Formats: sequence, C-alpha cells, structure tokens
Amino acid sequence: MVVNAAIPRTALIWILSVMVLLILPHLTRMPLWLIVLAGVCLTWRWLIYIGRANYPGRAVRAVALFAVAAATIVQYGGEGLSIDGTVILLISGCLLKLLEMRYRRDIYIVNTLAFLLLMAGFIYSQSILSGAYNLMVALLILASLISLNRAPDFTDGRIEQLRNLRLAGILMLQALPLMLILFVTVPRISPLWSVTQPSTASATGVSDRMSPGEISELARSTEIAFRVKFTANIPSPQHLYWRGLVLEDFDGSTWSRNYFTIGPRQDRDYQSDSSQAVLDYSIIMEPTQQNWLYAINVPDVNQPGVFLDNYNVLNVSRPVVQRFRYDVRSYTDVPSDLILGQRARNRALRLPEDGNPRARELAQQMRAQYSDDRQLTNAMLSRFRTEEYFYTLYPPLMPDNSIDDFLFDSQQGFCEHYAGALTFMLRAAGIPARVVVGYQGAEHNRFEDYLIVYQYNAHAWVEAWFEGVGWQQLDPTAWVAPDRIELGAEMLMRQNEQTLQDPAFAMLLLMDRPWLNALRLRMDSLEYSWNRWVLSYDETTQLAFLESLVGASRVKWLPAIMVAMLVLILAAVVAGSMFKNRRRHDPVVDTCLQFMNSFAGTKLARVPREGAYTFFQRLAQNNPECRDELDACARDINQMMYRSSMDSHNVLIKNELRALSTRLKRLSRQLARANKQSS
Amino acid sequence: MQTRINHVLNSINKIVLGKEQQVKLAMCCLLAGGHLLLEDLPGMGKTTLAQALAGVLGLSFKRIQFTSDLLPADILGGSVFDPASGNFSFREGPVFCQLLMADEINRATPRTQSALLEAMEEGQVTLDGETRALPEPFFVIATQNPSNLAGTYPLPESQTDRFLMCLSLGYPDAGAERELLKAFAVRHHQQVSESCLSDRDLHEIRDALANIHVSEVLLDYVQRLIAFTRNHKHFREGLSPRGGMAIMRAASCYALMHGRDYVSADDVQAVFAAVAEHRLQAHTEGLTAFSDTEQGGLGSWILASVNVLPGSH
Repeated sequence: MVVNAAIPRTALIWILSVMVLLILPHLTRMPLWLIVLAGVCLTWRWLIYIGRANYPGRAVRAVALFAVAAATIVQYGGEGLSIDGTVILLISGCLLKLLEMRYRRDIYIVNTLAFLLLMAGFIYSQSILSGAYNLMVALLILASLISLNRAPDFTDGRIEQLRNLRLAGILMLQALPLMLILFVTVPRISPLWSVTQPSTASATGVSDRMSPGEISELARSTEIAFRVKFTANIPSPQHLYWRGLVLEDFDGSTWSRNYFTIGPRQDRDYQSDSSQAVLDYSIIMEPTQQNWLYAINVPDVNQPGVFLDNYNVLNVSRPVVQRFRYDVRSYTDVPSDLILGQRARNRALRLPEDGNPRARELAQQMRAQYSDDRQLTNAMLSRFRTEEYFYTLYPPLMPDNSIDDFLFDSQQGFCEHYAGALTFMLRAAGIPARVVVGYQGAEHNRFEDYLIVYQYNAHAWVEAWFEGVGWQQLDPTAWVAPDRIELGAEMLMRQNEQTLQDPAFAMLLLMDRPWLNALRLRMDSLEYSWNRWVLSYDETTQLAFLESLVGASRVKWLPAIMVAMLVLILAAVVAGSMFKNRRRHDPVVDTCLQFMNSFAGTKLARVPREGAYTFFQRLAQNNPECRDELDACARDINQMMYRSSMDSHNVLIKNELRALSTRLKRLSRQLARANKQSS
Repeated sequence: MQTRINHVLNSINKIVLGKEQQVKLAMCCLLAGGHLLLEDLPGMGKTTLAQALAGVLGLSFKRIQFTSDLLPADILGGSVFDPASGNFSFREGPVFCQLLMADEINRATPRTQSALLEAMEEGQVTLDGETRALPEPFFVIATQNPSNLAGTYPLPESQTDRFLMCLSLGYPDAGAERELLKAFAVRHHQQVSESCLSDRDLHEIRDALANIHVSEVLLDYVQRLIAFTRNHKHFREGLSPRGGMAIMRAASCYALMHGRDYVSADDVQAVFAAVAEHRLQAHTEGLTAFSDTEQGGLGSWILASVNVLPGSH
C-alpha cells in the first residue's frame, strides 16, 4: 500500500463529515475557543479541498499547536488529568490533524483518531439514542476507510459511495454476532484506576441538607431519579416511600445529616411474619454523584459496596456516578430501634438554644394537654388539617424563625416545611423525631410493568420514636394534602395553575394526549430495558447469566470453552476459505471416475484425453458381449455429465446418481465375469 | 434439422470424397457463423470443398484468386467515372457476396489481406467515406498454401485469429483416390445444383446455438485446456479469450449437428485442433518434442495431455 499517495477525494469528504458528526455531541461541553478552532479547521480543510487555499505552513501549525496546548492547560490543567481535559485535547488534536492531512497515511491516522473520539463519546452518554448515533457514525467511519482502500471504478460517484456504505453496513452486520458473544462472555474487569469525574456532572437529586425551598426547587424538575421493578405485585402509591437520608441536625433553618454518628447497622437478620410484608425489587438509579441509595424501609441489600447504617439508610462506598443497579428486599413490618439509646435519644431531641419561640410555646401547651405521646402526635398532625394550611410548590420566603413564620403567619408550605415544623414541635414536646428525605410515589409504566420515580416525586417526611413501637413514619403532608400522597405529585402539579405555567411542566401538559403519553412510556420502557440488560451488565450479572446458561458448576470451564470456541471459529474460517478455493466436485464425475479408475493398471486404463463416453466406447469394443449396455451407459453418462446443470444436489439427480452407481457396479461384475470366461 | 444437415453433408461428401470429418468440421464452422481457413497444398480439393459448401448452403458465391499484385480495390470495389452521366458510380467488388472464396490468401500483400480481413470482422465495407453493408450471412473461405512455400506473405496472428477454424484436407485415402482417378473426366468442375439449406435454416441454427446446454464439468475441461496452453513452456503464448469462445461456439455447433442439446467433451475434442491450432505458436523445441512422440499435430498433443475429467483424488 502506498501511504504517501494522495488522498482520494471521496475519502476526504467522508472523513470531514465524520469529524463534524463526531464533534457535534461534544458541542455543549466544548469551550468557545475550541468551537472557533473547529470552524476554522474544517473550513480551511474544505477550502484546500476545493482548491481555494493551501496547506498551512510549518510556522502556522506550530503556533496553533502551542496555542491549543496552552489553552487546554490553562482551562483544565488545574484538575490534573481530568476526563474533560483529555477529551478536549483529543478533539483539538483531531482538528489540527485535519490541516496536515495531505497523504494517505495522515488520513489513516485521522480515521483511527475518529474511532477513539467515538469511544470518548460514550464517557458522557450511554443512552440508547447516543448508542444508535454512534453506531451510525461508526458506519460512516468504516465507509470512509473503505472508500480509502477501494479503487475508484469511475462510475457514477454517488452509486460508488452508496456501495461503500452498503459494504460498511454488511461488515457491521457481520460483526454483530461477534459483538454479542464478546459482550456476553468477555470478563468485566473493574477499572484499575479511577479518574476524576467530568465536571459537568453535578450532584443531583435529594441532598444531605434541607432548608426551606430546597425540595420544592427539586420538585419542579421532571428528570428521572430512578426506576424500580418489583418481582411481585407493586404496592399501592401511599406505601411507596423511597427513603433516602435521615436528617437529624437542625441549626434553626436547615436540617442536615449528622455524619459523625453513622455506623453500620449491627442487627441485620430480619424475620418477617407475613410474606406480604416482604417486598423484592430492583432499582436502577440515575447517577446522583451522592453516596446513598433509596429504598422502602426497612431495606436489606446484599451487594458488595453497599451497607446499611444505623439510620436504616443504604450507603455506597463510592458516589453513584453511573447508572447503578441494586436489588433490595424490604421488610415493611419490621420495627426498628425498639430500644433507643440515651445518646441517640438526645440527638433526636436536640434543638437550637433559641429561635422559633411560638412553636416551642405551642408544643409545650399541647404537651400539657396530652400526656400520651401518640395522642400528642395525632393532635399535632390533625392541627395541619383543622387549621388553614396550604400545600404549595411556591411558598413565600421565610428568612428567620422560619418555623414560626410558617406555622403561624404564612401557613403555606411544601412538604419540607411541614416535615421540619412537625419534627421541631415533636422535639420541643419531648418526643424523639427526625426528618427523612427521599421520594414518594411513582409513575407506573404499563409496557414493562415497572415504576418511574421522577425528581418531582421528591418528598420529606418525619419519623418519630415511640415506646414499644420504635421509629414510626409520619407524613404531615398526607394530612394537609392527601391528594399528594394518594394521587401522586404529578396530579397535584396539574391542579395548580402556577405550576402549569412552569416551563418544566410543559411536557407534562403535552402528555395529556394519551397516545403521546403512551409513546413516552414506551420510549422510557425501551431505555429501561437498555439500562437493565445492557448498561448494568456487570461482573455479577454476567456471572449470574452465564450460570443460568451453562449451570453453576460449569462456569469455571467457561474460559477454556471460550478459547476452544475461538480456535474452532478460526479453524472454520480457514477451512471455509480453503473450501471456497477448492474445486467443486461433480458427483456424476466422481461416480464415473470411481468406475473408470478401477481399470487403472490394466490395459484398459483410461488415458487423460478420454472422457467417459470415449472410454465406454473403447470398453464396448473390447467387450462385445456387453456392448449394448456399455453404449447405453456411455450415452446416459454423457447426458448426466454435460446436460444436467451443476445443481446435482436436488432429489431427482440424487436418484439418478444412485441408479447410475448400481448400474456401474452391475456392469463391472458383468465385465469381470466375461473376462474370466474368456481367459 | 439434423436430417437436413446430414443430407447436406452427404451431398458434399459425394463431391469431396473420403474427407467426412473435414467436411463436417467445415460445415460446423460455417453453421457457427465463422470464417474458414483451409491450409493445404495446391490441388488437394480446397476449392472443390468451398464450392460445394456454397452450393449446398444456397449462397451467392464469388471467388478471388489472390496474387502479389492484388489491390484492395480489386476486392472491395471502387468508384468509377461514368462519362455519360458525369458522375462517379460505385462498382461493387467481389466481396459483395454471401460466400467469398479467397484463394491463396497468403500470396497477396498484407495491405490487401487486411482489406479483406476487415470486411470479415465488421461485415461491412467503407469506401469513399460511405459504409456499405455486406450481404447477410457473409462467410469467407480462405485457402492458403503452407507458409514455407516461396512467394507468400504469412498472415499475422491477429488475422488468423479471425478465422474460426483452420482445416487441412490432406491426401485422400486409397479408396477415395481410386474413385477420383476413375472418374477424372466427369468430376471436373462438378457442382451441387440443389441447395439444401435456406437462409432461414441458418438463422434457426444460430438461435438453437444459444440454447445449447453447457455444463460446469465441460467448462472446467475447456478451462483446463486453455490453461494448459497458457502455462506450458512449449507455447509462445496461450489461447486468447476469443480463442476460448471460439472453442465453445464450434463445439456447441458440433453438438447441434449431432442432434444433441448439450455439449460434451467429445465435441470439444472434435473441434479443438481445428479451432486452436492456428491460434497457437509453439517453440521449435516444443514442435520437435511432440511431433516426435505423437501422431497428429499440436492440437491432439494438447488433448492427449489434458485430463478430460477433474484429476483423480
């Protein structure tokens, strides 16, 4: 191959369009200077292509190289070897290479870089859509490689390009089974080193601090938090409390998690009386960049890297930076912490020294009224219903003494206000209480029978500790706005005029058309299946799948089997190509040759120039007693050999062949007998 | 159709005695639409055969005796000034016929030879900027003396390639010769008066040729033959694709003449020498090598060397 030859013009068009398509998905992440660089490089290369410009000189290239390197270091250097910086460097390198793409060897380099860039795209998005997009780009890169290597046939250029594209498609289809096998069987090795995460990914979802307005902010997002698949029946919506964090510390305005008291839970062997109270489900969580998971209380997860702490919160050792799948078993009727230690009790009763005096006063009043903790709690909850309280996504701002302001002045709030206020009052009345944040409710996707939990399902509620019961879940929101719990957050949003004007919910309105909604759910179920079967196919699932495929005891033989299979496949390919090169054998010829070769060594042996017909004629001359049969045979063989088409595998020919073969056998017996008589 | 062809062959065989196989091949050549080259010594019956063929095919027949001073215009014709009308009018040459006999073609200069050969290939003549089509069908039977005789311009390979077959008649056997000698007075200039095949028959035969079945086994054989001529060191160059196609054409026609609708290896063997020999040139050492060992010429040596059926396994 001549690497210094000029680049075929068609290959150049391919590679330029491929570059554009490769850069497009990164556009939002690219700094402005890189976008300008992309424009300049692509335009310049195009101008060279149409003959309006020349290749840049050595000086220009050197300056461009140093400028790009400097810009990348300045912008990303501080983070060390970040993924963003590396990808930006890769893109700018590709773009600069375009400008010196003069010979064949250069375009090969650019082609390889294109494949690398394609893979870099998967760092940012692994959705089914971007998968399809990247597949298309891979097709185009292949087509560009083909157009590079195929001699132009000087026909219509467009037809030629279509042919290249078709060949690329065929190649990819051929690679498909191999890809599937490799995907299923190649060992999944967790990365040997970790890299700093892309900066664009910021923590999402419920955070470990709750100040007024934070959850209502979150509740305006229609993004997906996680998807849940239950193995058995799905519980009714009012039981779907996806518990995230327990917030115990209160500084007068913000509830936050107390990291110092977290420890792994000791008593983990739960027993449940009724099987109905046990829920099995698996969750695929969108990346949150946080360290905790969501589950229904009381969860139990048997998965490395996940542990349950003394707050019944599921913690993961590494932040969830990719879609994360975990299987949970929840015991809904198991009480937790029947005995509350003194320290824990103190933590659950701790309040700031001052602030919110009116709330404290009210709590004391009610304490005096009710001696029983349960009755007191119920009274506090029913107060939310009997008094004029409003549940709203857009509560007024309450700068200081927020609980007092909310309880007595504005009386408008979102779940975090109610949860915070209730916890505060319970603590003021001497009942241990804490705030729980997470999600409540879900949307059911009927196509795949799973639940979708959106960010707008974000919720905050309360847990209070009672003697003999342990921690019990209380949801003041259910008393203020029972619709929120029973019909779901989405319904509530719909009823609110103000919410509907929010652009984030425009989609929700659009989805009022049933077919559109069905389409959306179908798309989501497709993505869910993709997540479930493709993206979350890790070491564990791989092992499980292989075990289900070949049986647990035989899994350890799998590597050997794989190697053997690889060898077999290679052998098959080699044999196939050899078979292809071998001459096809005609069965009629074979049968005749067998007969004629039986005369080898005698004076009747066939000479090369004799065909079957001539040979039989000669036999007939030598054996006049069999002349008729030999003549007939010669005629028939001639017909079969030269008249019938090569397709000798059809039934008719097979029958004829069998007849011929028996006939020849009989003939050779006859001839042998005749020879014996004559001798 | 076969009976009619047999009838034709019989009537020719009555005139050209003792040359059944050559007559059959010559007929085969014409039916396949190819031109025929007869290579032999003077007086061996070349002209007789040509005349007989023209007679039975019912074709208009003309004959040119090629000499060293023959000019292209003598073959093709030319424009002649007519004093009465004051115009030039075209006078057709002998080439404007259906069957042209070019006697001793290698006696003419290459310039004249090529004028004829172009007409053979194109089926038309261009003179004074005007293209005139030759009658349909148009056959040329050329005779030539063995090129080692004095005063001959041997046809270059590119031109011998235009002839589908090259035949030599050879001396008649004793019986046939005796017949000839007996009737020396009567046989002189004997003609076939009745034509046995019409133009339509010729067309039919050409159509039938397209439907002759060719099997893979046979193609393998022909390819082996061609490959042998290309790879063997005795040959200066192998058979061209045109030569290969000529083999197929002649062999199918031969099969058709025998009433078969498929080509067998025997058909190929029957026509091979006539079709291939004049297209091949052997090195002298090769010539001596096979002429010593084998009866017959180059063609039969090739046939003897190439296996009809795929090699034993």
